[in-house]
Amino acid sequence: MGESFGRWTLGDDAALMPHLSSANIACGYHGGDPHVMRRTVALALEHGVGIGAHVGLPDLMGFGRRRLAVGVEELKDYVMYQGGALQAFADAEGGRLQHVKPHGALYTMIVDNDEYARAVCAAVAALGSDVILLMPPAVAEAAAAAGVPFVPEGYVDLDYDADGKLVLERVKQMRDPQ
Amino acid sequence: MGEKAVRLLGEGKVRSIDGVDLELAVESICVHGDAPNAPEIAKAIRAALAAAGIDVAPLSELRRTPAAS
Repeated sequence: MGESFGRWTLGDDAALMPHLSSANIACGYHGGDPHVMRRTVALALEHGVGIGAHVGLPDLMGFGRRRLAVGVEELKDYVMYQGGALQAFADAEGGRLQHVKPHGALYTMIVDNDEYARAVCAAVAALGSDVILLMPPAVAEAAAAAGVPFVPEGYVDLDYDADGKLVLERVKQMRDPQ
Repeated sequence: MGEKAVRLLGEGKVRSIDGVDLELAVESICVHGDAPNAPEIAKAIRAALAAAGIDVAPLSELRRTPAAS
C-alpha cells in the first residue's frame, strides 16, 4: 500500500483498504513518498486497519524487486530509517506503528541470510518493544532470539518453489480471485 | 485464491509450483496491492475465510511474544 509517489499512481488503495486487517505501507525506498505515507496512514486509520512499515531496498526504478549487495549494518539502518519515518506519521495521525514487513527482494534476502535476519530484528527492536515483525516462519527463530514479537505469514497470490521459497514477480501478474 | 487461503491458514499447507505440498505454519495472509485486481482478491479471500469459519484478528492478538528475559 502507499506505493504511489509524486504524480505516479500504483494500486487502488482506497478500494483495497476496506478488505484488510493490516496494511504494509511503503516508506519511500521502493515506492511511496512522505505525502503518500501520511495519506495512506490516514486511510488505514479511517478503516481501523493496523499500520505497518513496508520497508524496502532503495531502488524506486526497480520497485525494490532487484537484489542489492547491501551490508548488514546498512540494511539495519535502512529498516530503522524507513520504520522510524512511518512511525512518525502514524503517531502524528493519532495511530501507532503496529508492525514492520520487509518488501520484495529485501524480503527474500532476509530469508536467505541469517545476518540480514538478525539485522532487521535489531532494527525492529529499536523501533519499540511492541512492534511486530511480519515475515515467513523461517524468520521466527531470529525474531525470538532478538526478543521481537513475531507473526508468521504466507502468500496465496505468489507461488512457492519446492524449497518453500517465494517465486518473485518483477511485475505482478493477474490471478483468479477464487 | 480463497480456497488456497483457507487451506494455508486452516491446514498449514500450500501447493508449490512443482505440485508438491509444503507445510507452512502461518497466521497471516499477504495480498499484493499492485495486482490489477487486488481489491477483488482481498474480498474473495475474506469471503472464503468467513465461509470456512476462520476469524480475522489484529496482529497484536496473533503475535508470538518471546519470553521476558
